[in-house]
Amino acid sequence: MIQLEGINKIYGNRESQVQALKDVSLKILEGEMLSIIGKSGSGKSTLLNILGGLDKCTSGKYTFDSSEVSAFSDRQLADFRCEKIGFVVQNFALINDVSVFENVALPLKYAGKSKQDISKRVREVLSELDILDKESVCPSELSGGQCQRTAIARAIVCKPKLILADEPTGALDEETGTIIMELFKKLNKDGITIVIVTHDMEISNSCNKTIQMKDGRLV
Amino acid sequence: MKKINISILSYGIKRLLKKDFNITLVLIFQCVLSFFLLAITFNNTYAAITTNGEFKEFIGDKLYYTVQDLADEDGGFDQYMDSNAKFEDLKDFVESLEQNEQFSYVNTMLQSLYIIDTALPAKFAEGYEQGENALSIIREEDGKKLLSFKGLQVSYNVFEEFGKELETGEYFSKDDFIYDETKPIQVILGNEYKAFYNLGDIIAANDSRYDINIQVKGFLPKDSYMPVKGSIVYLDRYIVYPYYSGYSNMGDDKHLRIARFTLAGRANGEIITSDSHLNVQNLIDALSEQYNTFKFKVYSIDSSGINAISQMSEKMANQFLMLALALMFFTVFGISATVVGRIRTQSYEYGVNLISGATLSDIVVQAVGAISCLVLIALAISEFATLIVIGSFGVYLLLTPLLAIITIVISSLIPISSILKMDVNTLIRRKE
Repeated sequence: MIQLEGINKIYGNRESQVQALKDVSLKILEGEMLSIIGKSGSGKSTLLNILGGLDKCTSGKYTFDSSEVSAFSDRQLADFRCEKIGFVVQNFALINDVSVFENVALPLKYAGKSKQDISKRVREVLSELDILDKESVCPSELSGGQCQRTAIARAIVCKPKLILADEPTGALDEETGTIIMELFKKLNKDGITIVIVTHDMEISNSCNKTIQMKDGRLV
Repeated sequence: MKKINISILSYGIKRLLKKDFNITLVLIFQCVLSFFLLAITFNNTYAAITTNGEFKEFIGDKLYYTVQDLADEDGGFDQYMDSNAKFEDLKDFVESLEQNEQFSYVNTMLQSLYIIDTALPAKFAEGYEQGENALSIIREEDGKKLLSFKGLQVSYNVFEEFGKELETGEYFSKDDFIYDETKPIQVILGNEYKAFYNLGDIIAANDSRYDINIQVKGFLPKDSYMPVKGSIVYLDRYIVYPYYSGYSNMGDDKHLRIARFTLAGRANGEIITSDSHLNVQNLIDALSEQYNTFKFKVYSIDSSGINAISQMSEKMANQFLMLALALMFFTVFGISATVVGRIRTQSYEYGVNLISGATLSDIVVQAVGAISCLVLIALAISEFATLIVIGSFGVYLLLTPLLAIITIVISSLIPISSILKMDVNTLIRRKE
């Protein structure tokens, strides 16, 4: 499903260049649950951003379902993010002063769906994640676990093929973290490919494939 | 190019404008005030420049003189009023002025007219602009109340000479300048009278202590003006009526007396010519001697009147420009700074939008949309307010939309640059 060939990413200008990724090549198969581990600054998040179309590689080729993502324009990347990718991050990335419903509906609005379709799909997903009763509540009034469920609901609302999770349990207690990981496993069973960036070896071990990064390279 | 998603655009605009809504209201108010003041100042400056331009246009390079009799100096006026021969002499003198081919001779005279038992508002009354108690009753005769209203008497060639046209109705015919007490006197009314009278209406009035009827023959366009003895007089609240040159019943003492007064007035007219002051004075002296009538003094008003208007217009235009620049600067600065501030405080939210399928262009469109909404709301309010204050459609209605577009464009530059400089990766990045 995903193929990275010789990906390099350089930040900064000529005077102060930082090479975040060095010749990274990687294949991710459909239905895999992959973890990426490594120390801070090893390039995990950069790799995740490139996989998610949030950032462009400096050189190399990124192919997703036979489409060359590395050649996409900004608009195509936005559509790609909207249609194919779901993001889950450590700090949930929720808008705190709008309701759970509005947060989850945002990708559907960008996808140009009708009000009726949005309403139906958001309620379906909230029900699936057991937070339908919180639809009109703002994230600031939710627990950490409920916030992460909301973030996952937003990630899957457009039925993505790939979920990219950056330390998804990092801000949660152990018990809630376990519940969230069970949710990811369920989504993976349903056919969604999942890539998780983590420091936690327990989470890494629960995935069916793990890759390690060091100084911008795959080890 | 992808179609603009209206639902997401309105969502983004609301998010930007609703945050600190009081500040949004202050910005709208500031914008309204700027547009309103600019429109009013522009309108006034435009009117002054147009007036000056048109005045210069019909005067051209010619000089403008007023003629004033010296009849009172030696008791000549009393002799004139008692003598048919003196009357005939003055009549010949005036006709020689009116028919002279070396210059144009016109006659305009500010002469109030009494209207009987009327409920017209005070703005039409004599002295209103000077703050006088304008609607006080001037006289009460036979139970009738006479009030004094602003009037302008004109000679037959005045409208043609100054290129003036009517909005509705007809200009005076030559017969209208011959007084006939069996017929109403034809009048042309200033534009603001349209709210009170219609063409053909007959109004009971009084002129020179005699009851008369006046009949509405036409209405002047709004903002009409006329040079009267070297000053510009706006005619929206004036009754313009003929400067009689003849009477149908001259045998009657009453008519003879009025005719003598009127003729004396007609002799105190205005001359428009390229000739020098000295030459005009010499010519008038020669004519008064030839027709054995009073002596006349010629006054030049060209340099004082017209140039003063010109200088005033220029000064107003400069002040307008300075005011415009200052107001535009504060408005643009206020909008720019506020929107940039909001973009910064919402940067995390924009990160969330980006992972939800937005592009930086979408966010740019939302920011420009919010600025446009704010400015367009202000524009609508200011146009409405200006229309109420000025009371008519004018060039200012085109100026303010132009200023609004400029405001939107300039106010958007810094916010756009600020959005395009956003580092997408840092917006939602976790702290490692």
